[in-house]
Amino acid sequence: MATAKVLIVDDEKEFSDVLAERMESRGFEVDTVESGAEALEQVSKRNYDAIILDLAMPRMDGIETLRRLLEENADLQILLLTGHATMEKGIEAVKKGATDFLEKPADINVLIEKIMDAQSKKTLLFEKRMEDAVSDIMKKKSW
Amino acid sequence: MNQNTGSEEEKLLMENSLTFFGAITASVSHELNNVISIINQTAGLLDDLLIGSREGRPIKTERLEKMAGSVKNQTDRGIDIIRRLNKFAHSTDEPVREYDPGDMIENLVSLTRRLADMKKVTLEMVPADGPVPVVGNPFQAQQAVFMAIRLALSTSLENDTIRIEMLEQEDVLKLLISGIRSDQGAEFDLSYLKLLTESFGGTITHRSEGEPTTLEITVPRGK
Repeated sequence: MATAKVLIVDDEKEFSDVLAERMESRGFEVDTVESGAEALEQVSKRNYDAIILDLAMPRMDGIETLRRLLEENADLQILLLTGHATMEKGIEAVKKGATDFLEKPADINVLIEKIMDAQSKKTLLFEKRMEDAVSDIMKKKSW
Repeated sequence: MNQNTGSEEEKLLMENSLTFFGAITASVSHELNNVISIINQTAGLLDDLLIGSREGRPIKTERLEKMAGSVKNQTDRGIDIIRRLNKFAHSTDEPVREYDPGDMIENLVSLTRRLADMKKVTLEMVPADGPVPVVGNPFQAQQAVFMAIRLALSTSLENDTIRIEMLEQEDVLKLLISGIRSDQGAEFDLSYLKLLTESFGGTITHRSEGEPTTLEITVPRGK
């Protein structure tokens, strides 16, 4: 059984393909796309535990893709990959809703750790929503 | 009306020169980082396969061949990027020297192409018929062309083409940067470009007949 479902969004296909292969050998289920537009389409079809999103992409860059993905689903766990991970960029990304950020070239063990954290966060969010839904129903029924 | 004093103008030229240098090196470093990232992950994959091999999972030769090919391609790509960056960096060696603008602009276009690719815009260069020797400041001439390209990119739409054409004349070289949309509501402030081109004895004109429009930079040949 797969450890987690991950989507890699990067216009450098060779990079995505090699990273995907390494993650699949570690038990992850991985899809790759090359643009923000493709990411939006893919996310509408499949549920992912984490999305690894490159910051610098043609047309729709990482920040715009992040914004549009979160508009569709605010619970998405998105890890931004940046070529220059200054604290400023990291804070900007997290303020805009990214779960975390990493600097390219990314160490796979660090990446996996962050993906597992993202998966846990997603599970907690889901459980909270379920609790809130049950609580709402109980209130409506005055239980 | 330009109210800058001579020293203020020099300061402005220096600051913008640094900004230009920073913009090129930042763009190149991003590209090189992508090259390194691919090689890094491929090395990591090789490690993974070797570990697997020790655990009884043999490595297929075709797999290794593909990985070796990838490393070679990315290394070649990296070498090309570094060679071009090196050429650009050395354009600052002397404030006045003889240089070939065609070669210089071809190098600049190559270094700037990533910025155009990000907007899905094509950068095209139409060189002169042969080498056009110029005696002057190659760095400042590149900066003027770069700023014109950046202006064009700021107005461009997806699938547009920005063309850089060289026209040889007796005493000047004309550089025409076409593909600038003046119908996108952008205000063109050419005051700094005017200051820059005048600093090396050149001129800048916005030829706004038709759409898209063209910036014409003249570079004295200094013969």
